[in-house]
Amino acid sequence: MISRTICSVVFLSLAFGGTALAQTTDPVVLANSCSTCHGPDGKGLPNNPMPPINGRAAPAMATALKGFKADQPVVTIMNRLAKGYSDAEIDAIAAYFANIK
Amino acid sequence: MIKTNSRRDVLKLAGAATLASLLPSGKSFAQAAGNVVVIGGGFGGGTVAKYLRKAGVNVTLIDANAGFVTCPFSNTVLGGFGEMRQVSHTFDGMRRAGVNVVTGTVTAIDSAAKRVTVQGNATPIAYDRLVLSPGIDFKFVGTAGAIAGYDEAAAEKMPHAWKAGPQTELLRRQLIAMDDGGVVVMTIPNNPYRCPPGPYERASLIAHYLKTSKPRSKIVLLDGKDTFSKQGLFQAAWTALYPGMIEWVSFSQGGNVARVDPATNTVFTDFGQHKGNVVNVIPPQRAGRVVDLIPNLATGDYCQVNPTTFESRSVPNVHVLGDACVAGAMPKSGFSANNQGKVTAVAVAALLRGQAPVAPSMINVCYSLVNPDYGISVSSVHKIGDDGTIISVPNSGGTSPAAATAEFRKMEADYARGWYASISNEIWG
Ligand SMILES: Cc1cc2nc3c(=O)[nH]c(=O)nc-3n(C[C@H](O)[C@H](O)[C@H](O)COP(=O)(O)OP(=O)(O)OC[C@H]3O[C@@H](n4cnc5c(N)ncnc54)[C@H](O)[C@@H]3O)c2cc1C
Ligand code: HEC
Repeated sequence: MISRTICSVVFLSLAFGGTALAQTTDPVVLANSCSTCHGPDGKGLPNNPMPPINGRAAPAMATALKGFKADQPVVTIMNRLAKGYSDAEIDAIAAYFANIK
Repeated sequence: MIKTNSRRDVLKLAGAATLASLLPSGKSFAQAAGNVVVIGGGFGGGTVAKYLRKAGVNVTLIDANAGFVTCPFSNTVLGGFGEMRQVSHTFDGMRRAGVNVVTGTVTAIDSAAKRVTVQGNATPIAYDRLVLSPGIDFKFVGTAGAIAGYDEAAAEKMPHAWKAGPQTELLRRQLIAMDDGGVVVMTIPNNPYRCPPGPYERASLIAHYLKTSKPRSKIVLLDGKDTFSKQGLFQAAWTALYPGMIEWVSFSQGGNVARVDPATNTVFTDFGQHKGNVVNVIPPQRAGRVVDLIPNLATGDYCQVNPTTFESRSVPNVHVLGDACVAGAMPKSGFSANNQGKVTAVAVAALLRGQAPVAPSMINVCYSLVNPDYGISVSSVHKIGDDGTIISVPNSGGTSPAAATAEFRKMEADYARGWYASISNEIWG
């Protein structure tokens, strides 16, 4: 958890230069918002209708989230939430959850 | 506002990561030195404590009570289909996570010496960083902005039930004791207050109880404002489910409450008076009074904070989150306090390690039930805007659709219960 935090900060710094840190935040910080509904590390909870979102192939998860952004398919809430993230943020979130088995 | 990292910081971070990844766990290197004291084991404080433990930080959590009763889902108790035990949590999970839990009321804070005093404990508790998530307190008689006649004693006759626990049970008993054909009066304050849609969810679920048990009864809502959260969705549901039962009196129509008389169960507005068989007064609010123990921590009713770290704008090494802080576009909710708690924990851990905090990203969703099978929601995604305050990301979030099938409303009711189970598990599980 901790080493992952640091690594991802570094990834962003190296990828976009130090200043990018101000605009694009850490994937851990982005993903932390999801566990409120999707359970610890996105793994869901037994007998809970909120679907688990960990361990999916990153491209498939990113495609699903970008679909929600375009109101496809019709869902109760993910369409409204997905619209709050840029495509780059979605890719970072998808990569983060894909690595949680 | 958001600190831009200097090239040197980035290099320092890169060096740290290389070293950390060479270590078997990375933990011993990344472990943040320092003691954090958290005041409040509710939605904000409980989250901070749990997430700081994940980062290997030493945490002492102080709460006045030995456990926590959530306001979220307490309206289901009033609606007659939820139980107090379902909204009651212990701090055992906190202890299992390695949090040092102290039960007692904080009575003094020395922010210069960095020490907190708990009632009954001779030795103060030292901190490197202090986090306060004390929720709200009420403006009772004697405070500017209070409703005349409404004090702690009056609340035993006209419950607020806006902090869950014995007050919730009192209001429930009064509803059970009321005869069919009775009038329930509820008073609702102007913004800002804890949980903007909460009063309207409560009205809905009391109506659900009355419809099934005392169908000739009425509910009168005396409101200090002219519009409210999820208004269209609530009012459409009331017309469909509880026709003629709920009367909403807006501020302009004379809903603003000036005075109450507990002896006669009467509420006096700017325009007239309303007598209720049951009177639920939701009083005007302010940050939990413990913030007054640090001079200048509050500006007016609430505390101004840096939204990247939730550190006070006036007192260094002191962080304030949840209902007690000013969080821009984020409403005062358990969901907000929880997400702010995660941001605070990540920031505090970084600061203790001498690293720059990262920019926050947060969500708020407030689910409301209008009956056990009919849920609605309002949502928002938050980041820091160009003006340095917390904004809602444009063109995102919003409410459930105005037109939806019964199946859709049922799904949102189920997801509301799923959310409650998840967030409770995350904080107190
Ligand atoms: C009826 C109702 C329904 C609601 N429904 C929802 C909902 O569905 N979804 C949602 O997101 N939000 C909901 N809310 C809002 C939610 O309850 C609050 O926003 C949330 O509790 C705020 O979290 P907090 O950490 O700021 O404070 P709290 O959760 O209230 O925690 C504060 C803690 O600090 C402790 N404390 C205070 N002072 C001291 C002191 N001096 N010493 C020691 N301990 C102290 C208190 O004992 C308390 O445990 C609802 C509120 C109400 C009233
Ligand atoms: C308020 C609760 C809530 C939050 C917060 C939330 N989700 Fe969801 N999520 C849901 C619900 C409910 C569904 C089911 C689809 C629907 O009705 O919107 C879902 C579905 C999904 C799905 C599709 C799962 C499937 O099996 O089809 C993905 C992927 C997903 N969410 C990702 C995320 C990510 C990433 C975040 C954080 C940025 C997030 N969610 C935050 C409630 C939430």
